[in-house]
Amino acid sequence: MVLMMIEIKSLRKRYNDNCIALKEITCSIGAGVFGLLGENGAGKSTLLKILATVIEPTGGQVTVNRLDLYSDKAAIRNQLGYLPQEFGFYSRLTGFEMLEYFAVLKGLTNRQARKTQVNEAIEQVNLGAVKDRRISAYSYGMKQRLGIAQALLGNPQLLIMDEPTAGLDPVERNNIHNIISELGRSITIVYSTHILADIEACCSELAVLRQGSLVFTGKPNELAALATGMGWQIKDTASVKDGYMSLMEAAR
Amino acid sequence: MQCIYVTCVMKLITPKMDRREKNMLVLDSITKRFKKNTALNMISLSLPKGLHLLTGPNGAGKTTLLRIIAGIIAPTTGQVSLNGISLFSDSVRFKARIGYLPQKFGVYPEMTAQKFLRYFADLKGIPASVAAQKVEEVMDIAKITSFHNKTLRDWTKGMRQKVGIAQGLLNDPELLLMDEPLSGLDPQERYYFCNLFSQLSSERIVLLSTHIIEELAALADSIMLLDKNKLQFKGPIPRMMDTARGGVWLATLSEGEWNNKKTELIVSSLRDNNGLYEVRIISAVRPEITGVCSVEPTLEDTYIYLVSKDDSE
Repeated sequence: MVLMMIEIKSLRKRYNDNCIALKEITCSIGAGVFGLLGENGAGKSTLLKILATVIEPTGGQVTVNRLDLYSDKAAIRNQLGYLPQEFGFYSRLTGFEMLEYFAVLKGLTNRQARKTQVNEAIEQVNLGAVKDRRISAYSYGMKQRLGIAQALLGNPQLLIMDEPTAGLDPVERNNIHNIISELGRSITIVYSTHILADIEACCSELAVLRQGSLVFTGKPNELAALATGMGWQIKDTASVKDGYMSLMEAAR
Repeated sequence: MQCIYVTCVMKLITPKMDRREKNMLVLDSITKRFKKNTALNMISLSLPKGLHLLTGPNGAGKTTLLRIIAGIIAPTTGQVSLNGISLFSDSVRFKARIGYLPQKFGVYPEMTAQKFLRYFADLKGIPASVAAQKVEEVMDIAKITSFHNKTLRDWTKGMRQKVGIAQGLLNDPELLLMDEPLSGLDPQERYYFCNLFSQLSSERIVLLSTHIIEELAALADSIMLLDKNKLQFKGPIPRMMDTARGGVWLATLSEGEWNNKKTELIVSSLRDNNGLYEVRIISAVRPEITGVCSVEPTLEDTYIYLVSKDDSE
């Protein structure tokens, strides 16, 4: 097992001429679960897409285990799983068939090895009971888990997910938390969310983006600690929410 | 929980009509069948003024129920009334008193928010003399004033959601129905709107569906849990949490124990504890694990406890 170490230096992204999505992002992401918070339009999806090598940055550098994200794209994609914000499913296929199809695309050409991997991914997201049902019969939460299974094919060491819990009911959201916590013991996971309880449930580190800049990186309890003494009413102990709100208020 | 933003809301809240009459939404034995599927089975409830949450698994029928109350679809059987006004025999008067945000809210992309809201104000029959003023008010409350001259085409999903919330407030409704109003909103926006709904509910009935009950728990007067076509619980949140007492357990498992047990356990949280798994387990009976101890349920535990009753799927 290789531990992933992502180093981001002065990363910039500009769309068209006038829209600056990211300005001078510098941070490092190590092993474990890394959460990404921020307002709508702050640049979360842009950052995740760059890390997933889907779009190219305008400037700056990203290395993954010292490999350059762009010159060594293929080597990095080998170790990468990505779940975008809106993932398309082939609803006439069964869950198993769709994963098998994606596994072929990922270059798993050996039939037996592919089957083993697909079944492993299905087990990791607890879809064993419905793997032979058509995706059109899946609930929203099952589809989301299938999306994660797809990202797990090829045993990635780095898993990137854009709002994996959006729109999920509490049980499904909890399923995703459990999957993330379990996977996060062995691989690096980077994901974005609007739901602060997601951060408290699974993240070891997090970053907050605001208008294209990083305004916080650290541990959840360090973010929570920011709330202390900033005039926010605090119950027993400061929560991640308290910290987030005071950080954003101070950044105004 | 005090909110520093919400002071501007009070002017909207002042009721225009006399609401000393009994302010109550009453649902009587609502059943809805789609072909052979029963989506809702004998739902009865009465809601007074206040903030009420509707929650439940995806596909449980929350949206169907809200659409019935909003008069979009008819129930197979049952009655709905607001302050004694029947949705079915007096539907014009009923609908004039509600504001509704559907789950999928569409906007006309070529309009600005101001034009769009004015269009809705006209559709809702708000007199022209006050419509402009009303549009300004709701834009202010929904915090969209600063984008007023951008066409909605250029707005993000979260910003459009706020236009949808604003639209629901235009007619100063006695009943505000909102289907997942916080979806797509970022943490600050969620915080602001949670407090806004709470303030609005001091003068009217606010019924909203949500998947993230924790954010509204401290503000809500009651919660309804819809699952398997039925209301599995209705009442104050602390009482809901009482139902799970004695059904939540904490255990520390090794990697091997976890792998053996994980398919048979309902787990509400999983944490790493120095290489071991610290697991919160939902179970009506004591799980057969050494060292397991009973713990106080959280809101999330309670929800999982209630929806996992009788079947573990």
